[in-house]
Amino acid sequence: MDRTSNKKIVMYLLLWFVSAVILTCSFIVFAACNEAANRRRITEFIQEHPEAEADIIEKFQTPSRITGMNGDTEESIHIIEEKYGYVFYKSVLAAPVFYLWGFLFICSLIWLLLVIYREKKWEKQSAVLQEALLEMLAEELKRFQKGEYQLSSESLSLIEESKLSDKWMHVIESLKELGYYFNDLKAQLQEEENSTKALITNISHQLKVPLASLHMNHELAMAEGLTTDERREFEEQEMHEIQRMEMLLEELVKVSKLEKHMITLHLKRQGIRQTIADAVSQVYGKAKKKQIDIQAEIRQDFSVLHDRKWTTEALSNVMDNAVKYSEEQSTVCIHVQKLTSCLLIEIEDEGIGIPSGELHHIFKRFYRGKDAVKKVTDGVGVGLYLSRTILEQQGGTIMAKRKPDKGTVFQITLPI
Amino acid sequence: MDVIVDKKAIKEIFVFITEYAIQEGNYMSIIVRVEDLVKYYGSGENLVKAVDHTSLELERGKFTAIAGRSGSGKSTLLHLLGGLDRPDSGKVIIENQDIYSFKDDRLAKFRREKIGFIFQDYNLIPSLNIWENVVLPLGLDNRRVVKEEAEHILDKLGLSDKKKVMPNTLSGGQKQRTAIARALITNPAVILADEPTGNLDSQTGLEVMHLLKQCVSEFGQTLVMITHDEMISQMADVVIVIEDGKVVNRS
Repeated sequence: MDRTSNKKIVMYLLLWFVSAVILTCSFIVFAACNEAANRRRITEFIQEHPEAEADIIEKFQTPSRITGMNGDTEESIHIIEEKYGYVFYKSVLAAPVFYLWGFLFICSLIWLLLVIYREKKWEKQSAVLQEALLEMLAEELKRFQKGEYQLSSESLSLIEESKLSDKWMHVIESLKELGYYFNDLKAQLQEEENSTKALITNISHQLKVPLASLHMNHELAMAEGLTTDERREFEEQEMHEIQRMEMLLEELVKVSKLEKHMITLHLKRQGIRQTIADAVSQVYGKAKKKQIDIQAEIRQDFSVLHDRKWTTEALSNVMDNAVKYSEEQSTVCIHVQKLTSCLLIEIEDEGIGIPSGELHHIFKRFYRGKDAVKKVTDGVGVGLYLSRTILEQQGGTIMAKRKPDKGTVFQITLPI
Repeated sequence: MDVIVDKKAIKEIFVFITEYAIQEGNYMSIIVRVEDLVKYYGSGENLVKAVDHTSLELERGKFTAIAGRSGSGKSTLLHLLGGLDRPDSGKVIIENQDIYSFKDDRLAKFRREKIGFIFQDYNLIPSLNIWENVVLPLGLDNRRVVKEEAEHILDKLGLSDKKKVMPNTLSGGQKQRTAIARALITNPAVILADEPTGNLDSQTGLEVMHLLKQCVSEFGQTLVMITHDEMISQMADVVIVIEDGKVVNRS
């Protein structure tokens, strides 16, 4: 701030100097013109009245001096005017221009002093203000440390009362923004904590059921006097529960990976057909068990910038849902279509469908629809959340659409 | 209480904050804050409470969908968010500035700088070609057209080969993409869209949404969209449901 104020003063000084020089120059030019005119008139007068010459020469001894210096001309005029009543132009010192010049000069001097005084005063004031602002900043930062992320009312009134420079306003705005950011962060942390709690409750609940069932089966299998067939049945049941637990744990690992931002996508331009085929093969076994036909019509392969491993994951999650929530002997169709600027993948099923009130919740973490919970008891509700996150990180979108009769269409876009 | 001022430390903090401010947009914060907004139309028995004491906050860089039946006041709310109208009372604070404290011409300038609009019926100017339509908002403020930026936006929206074409020869999807390009050209902080896919068939609508979302995430803008299409609200980060001028649900 000091520097700019000093700069200003220097600028004003320079301005004043330039204008003073111009003013003085113009005055000198005027004076010279006046002088020349007077000299000419004296010469003319002497030519007309040669008798006067003697008086003037007497006064100055040498005639040449008549046309000499300023003072001489002045004196000559004086003599002529007194003796002959002849009126010359007024001398330059008597001319109004001289007084105007003086007036302007003094005015500019006063103006300069005033400006410098104001600048100095402002400088002093701004130094005080800066001190106050720094103190305010210190106090606000202390408040930040305490976890209060809003500017105090005193600070706000200080900001409002004083006219701040853009730079300071910028800093204060940033401080406010930082406060908002911390507040949001706090809220986000709270939300995350809540959802982690929900996750833990969910996990423990999900694991409890198969564990209890496993426990029971194990006890039964251990009992004496069982036939081989009976024992085998219990053992199979045990195996089933173990598989269920494994699957659950796998899902949970994926969620925790996603939550910890451990997923990094390696985008590569490659054919989408292989990716879709990989996804289909992941759910193929499950579909076959339920005699669900997966029809994928991909007549043409399209090269799309995507991460194969995770896109496969995203697609197979959607297909897995389609298989899970469909009746036996139904069909899941996959269409691929190139639009002007993106690739559209449609996954269509004939399943239970999604009630319209649930549509915009299905991509949320841990969300499970009411009907979905009834139909399939195990599952944590992360599949579609995972799919959406993966696709959006690649610049794509996903949405679900209710079919008029039965089932759902998932529309997935990926940039070409 | 005496505050000990460590000038050096504060200077460092000053520098830190200034630098932090330069990286604006790198963090989440509230960009639009609506405080107790009211807008009524008519009087007596014909009184319509289009926006009735509504308060809400929109996060920077998020996609917010405003859903609700027709006549629920969502368009009025969007117009008030964008400074196209003046409320009866209440505040709309965009980037910490109360936009209705501005006089009309200042408001118009602020609107052109900070807000991009996309409408259902495109609102393209029929006598100008696509390029001219897109760079028009810059011309209104006598701002220089950075050719590379404009070309990049057009390229992103698949309109590079349509620059010299007149709007009436385009399809609905192309017209809406032009409107999106026009909204993006000023690099606004907030994009307000009023049912942008309302006049498009579902596939074209999907594509427009795909592009819009992609652009918004690339340029780090905040998107607010009115829609009664529940498919589209699935793509939003936040869905606000409006009924009779009031926020009834936020999820």
